[in-house]
Amino acid sequence: MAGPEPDSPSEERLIAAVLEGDDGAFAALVARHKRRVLRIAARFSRTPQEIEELGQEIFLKAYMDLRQYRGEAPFAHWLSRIAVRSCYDALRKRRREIGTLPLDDTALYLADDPADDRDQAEAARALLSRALPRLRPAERLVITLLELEERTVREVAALTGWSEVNVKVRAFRARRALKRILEEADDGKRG
Amino acid sequence: MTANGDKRLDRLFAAARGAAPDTSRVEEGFEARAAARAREARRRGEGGLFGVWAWRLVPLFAGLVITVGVWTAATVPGSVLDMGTEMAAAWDAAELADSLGGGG
Repeated sequence: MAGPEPDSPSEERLIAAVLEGDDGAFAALVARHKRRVLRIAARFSRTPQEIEELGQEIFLKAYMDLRQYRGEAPFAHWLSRIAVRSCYDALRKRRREIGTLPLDDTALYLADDPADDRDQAEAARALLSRALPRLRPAERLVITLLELEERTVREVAALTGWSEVNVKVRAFRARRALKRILEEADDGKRG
Repeated sequence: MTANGDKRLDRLFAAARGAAPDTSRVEEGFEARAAARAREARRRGEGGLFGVWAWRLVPLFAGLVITVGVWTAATVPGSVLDMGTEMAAAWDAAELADSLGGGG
C-alpha cells in the first residue's frame, strides 16, 4: 500500500482532528489504512458484502475507541489488533451459521503437481475456503495469521493477546485438524 | 500425522499465499461510507448520553436504597417488627379471602 502524500497531515494530527469531531480527518485516516484492514477482513470473509461489513465494524470500533490510543505503538499496529479481534469475534458469531461445505475435486488436484502456478493458487484458495471454516475459530485465526499472512508467533501473540505458547498449541491443533480434513476428503473420493 | 501430510499442507499454504484476496471492489468509496457510519454512531451516542449515565448511576442509587433501608431498620424503633406484623396480617387476610372464596 502506498504511504501518505508528502504534504498530507501527519497521523497524529489526523487523530487529533478526528477526536475533535472532524469527519474528513477520519475519512483520510480510513483511506490510509483501508487496504491493510480489508485484506485481513477478507481472510475471514466469504463474500465482498462480508468484507465490507467486517471492515466497517473494525473502523467503527477504532473510531469509538480512539481516545484509548496512546500513541505508544504505531497506529497501524493498534488498528491491526482491533481488526484481528473483530475478525475473531465475527468467526465465533458466524460459527453456528456456517454449514459444512463439501470438499470438491480441489483436494485431490492439489495432491498432484500442477504446472500452472496460478491454477494451483486458485485451487488452494478454493480448498482452504472450504476447509478452514471447519476449524474452531481460534485455530482458524492462528493458522491464517501464521501461514497465510506470514506473521511470526510473537506477532500473532501480540495481535490476539494470547501467549506465544497458546498460539503454538493452537497452530499445532489447527494443522492436525486440517490434515485430518484433507485425509477424509481423499478417503471420501476413494470410497 | 504423517510428514507427507505436513508437506502437503505446506504446499497448500504456499500456493494459497500466491492468491492474495482482492479487495478492490470494497475499497472503492469505503472511507466515505466509514465516515458516514461514524457520524451516525456519534449522533446516536450523543442522543443516548442520558441512557449511558443512567446505567452508570445504577450502583449509586442501589447503594443509596440499601443505606436508607439499613438506617431505617437501625434507627426507627420497632420498624422491622412492624413490617413483619404487617406482612403476617396481609398473609392471614389473603388466606381468609381465599378460603371464603372457595379456593383450595
